[in-house]
Amino acid sequence: MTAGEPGRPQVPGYVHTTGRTETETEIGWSLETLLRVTSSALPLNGPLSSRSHRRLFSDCAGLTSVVEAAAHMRQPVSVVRVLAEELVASGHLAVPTPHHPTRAHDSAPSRELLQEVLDGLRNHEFA
Amino acid sequence: MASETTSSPDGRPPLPVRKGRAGRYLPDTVTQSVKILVVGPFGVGKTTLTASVSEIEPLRTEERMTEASVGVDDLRGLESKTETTVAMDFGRITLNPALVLYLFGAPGQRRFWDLWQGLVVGAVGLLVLVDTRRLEDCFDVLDQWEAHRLPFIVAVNRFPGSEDFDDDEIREALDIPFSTPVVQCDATDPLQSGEALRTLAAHALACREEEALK
Repeated sequence: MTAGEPGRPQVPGYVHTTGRTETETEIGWSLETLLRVTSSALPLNGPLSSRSHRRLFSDCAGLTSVVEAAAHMRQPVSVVRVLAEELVASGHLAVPTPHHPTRAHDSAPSRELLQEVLDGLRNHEFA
Repeated sequence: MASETTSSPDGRPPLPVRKGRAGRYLPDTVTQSVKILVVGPFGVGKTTLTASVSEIEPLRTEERMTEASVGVDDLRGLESKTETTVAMDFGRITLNPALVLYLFGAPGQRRFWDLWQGLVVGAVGLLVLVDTRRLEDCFDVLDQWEAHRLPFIVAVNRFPGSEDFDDDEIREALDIPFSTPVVQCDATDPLQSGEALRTLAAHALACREEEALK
């Protein structure tokens, strides 16, 4: 699961703990989890060559999120999440490392992150 | 990122400008995503509020649920099941080059939330949207969300013809703590909706700081 080319972006540890048949809510995977391609040149082989895998991989041409990819693919988030987990495990996709870690036991945003959200909303021009 | 408006010299209201100014993809510099849940009963204006502040046209995500029919006697002992599609609309605001905020217009009924794994987990807080003409529709929503202990504020969506109530009357009717912010908000107005989001973020931060002192 950890095999990959040197220089490939590090996948956060929680991603490795997420089995594809896991049905419990996993900390770290959510609707808004971000996805980016590691290298668009990586071929999709074997079980990763399904139409759905290829569609998700091409939908991640730029930085996006699980829920946005799902909406564009017209697939349930639950389905796209499984595809995303597989493509992260294979090294095709990566989840960017958050600049503010969330609290371990309940994933609550940190004080610093909440401050950044508030500042962002205050500076944002709504109109 | 702000929408363009066509201001007119004679004081007429600006014409609405179609959304879609933000790209399909997020800036490459974004490394973190957060979410706020906009909750309330059907028809209260969740999607309207999301659309008024979102930088993209709201998108829709659907999940299928299968449930046993209630109150159906089946003499053959077979369970009768129906499949329902439950939809949730969402939008986003890029808050700074590294941070994006998602807004989810979550369905009012508890039994739908679990369809989206991790919907509640890690949220900044809840913006509970209410309609004073049918406040009782929100009781169930509040009952359920309070159990999650996430910070929340109440935004009163002002519909034409709805009567004015002051904030304390709203708090009393909803039986929520005096410290819960209540804002009046026309969900179609980006400025008012944006202010409601700011109030929620400030409240969430205050709750977190209070928690840290305990």
